[in-house]
Amino acid sequence: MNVTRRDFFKITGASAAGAAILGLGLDLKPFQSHAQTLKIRSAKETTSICCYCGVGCGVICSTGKAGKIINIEGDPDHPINEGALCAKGAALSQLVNNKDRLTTPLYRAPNSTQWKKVEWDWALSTIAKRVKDTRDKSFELKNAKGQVVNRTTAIANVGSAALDNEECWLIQALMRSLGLVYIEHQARI
Amino acid sequence: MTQDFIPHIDRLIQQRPASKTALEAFRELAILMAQITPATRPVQIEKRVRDVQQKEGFPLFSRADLPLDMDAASDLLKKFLVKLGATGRDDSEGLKKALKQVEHDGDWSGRLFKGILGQDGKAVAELATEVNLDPNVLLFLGRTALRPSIQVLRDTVSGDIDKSQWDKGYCPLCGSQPDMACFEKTGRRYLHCELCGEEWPYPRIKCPFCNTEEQEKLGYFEAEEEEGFRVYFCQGCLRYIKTIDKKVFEEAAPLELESLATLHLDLLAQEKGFK
Repeated sequence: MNVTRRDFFKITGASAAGAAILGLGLDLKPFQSHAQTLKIRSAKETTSICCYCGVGCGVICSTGKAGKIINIEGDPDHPINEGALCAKGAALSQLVNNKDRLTTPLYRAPNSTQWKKVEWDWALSTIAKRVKDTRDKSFELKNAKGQVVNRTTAIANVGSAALDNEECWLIQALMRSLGLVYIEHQARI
Repeated sequence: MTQDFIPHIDRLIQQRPASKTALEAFRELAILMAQITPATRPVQIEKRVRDVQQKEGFPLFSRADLPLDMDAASDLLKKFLVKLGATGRDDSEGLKKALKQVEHDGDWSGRLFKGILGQDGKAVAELATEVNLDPNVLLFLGRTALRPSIQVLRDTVSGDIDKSQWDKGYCPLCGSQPDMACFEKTGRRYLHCELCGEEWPYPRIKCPFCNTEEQEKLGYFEAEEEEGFRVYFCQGCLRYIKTIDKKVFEEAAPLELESLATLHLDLLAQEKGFK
């Protein structure tokens, strides 16, 4: 039998186990039959950042067929978390693969005990209308001392830790333009 | 002291029955390996030189120049040949011829080891032809005979290597390619050297063979029934590496044994066109 340099590399490299079997003069059949019984799935790994809080832990998402997420784990090479994830981050794949996940806005009318599915257009325009109504009704041009304040104390805003710098700026600008003074952030609560 | 494979073999056979014949055959060799105590060869590499070598991406030794106890390796090879030659295998004549060569030609085993360490396939094939033996058999027995001596060297010098600073896809000790990988408890990937068994950290999403970090080219496959084993592949260079996730197992066997016990994954990878 003639072994070329290339074959030699092959059998001394990644297929060392294969060489071991050949070298021991063994039968491959048990391995072949075992391989045939297995259900094989392929996946691609993509690095990402956990969407939950502002720490910014690195994660590795494994996606299978049609881009479906099959696993999410901490990225051991990420300098922030070095592979670790909190309990919420460790359950990150449930954000996507979850039968209870909301896929449409839900609306509970005043005094109702039931949620009902609504359209995004309706939800957004209703929120906008109510913000405008509340703000207009509660807007204070001046305070009790007659000083100009241009504010409303009837609306508050709570920011999410998942917001990035640019989103925070936009929200801050919008809320200040409405006259809000109660502007808070999840990280401080 | 040679790493003791024997206590792990029975457990692995129970866990993965398909690998029974491979592991039982290997146990015969492992028993002989455990009986050998190779001598330590003096190694003197100045720290300054070592640091420069490492910084420039050179392994501590080149494969061809490993300071090994070749006499111990040669003795072990003889024991392997005696043991296997007496088992009535089809190639027992070849094994006996090889034994005669090792006993009577003082240089024969040296040439074999040189061929293996120098990755000179032609030299190994020529020696195999001389004794009418399958080159794979000779190659495997030679490699396995070298292992205890290599392990003594590794035990001596491994502590001198700053593996946290080594970011190459080849071994920091001998420059060989990895044959397997594992995820440690932290999820960090370690590559395992095919020759000396050294382990060193390597990024999860990077091909150790062609160094690509293009996530589109990299992937893995796994059997749904066998949690904890993945075969990572690169569609750029078409290489693959079997990986065991130690987070899943209470106790993992040495990767040499895990590699033997997961040969079905090699078959699946090769079916998919990876090498």
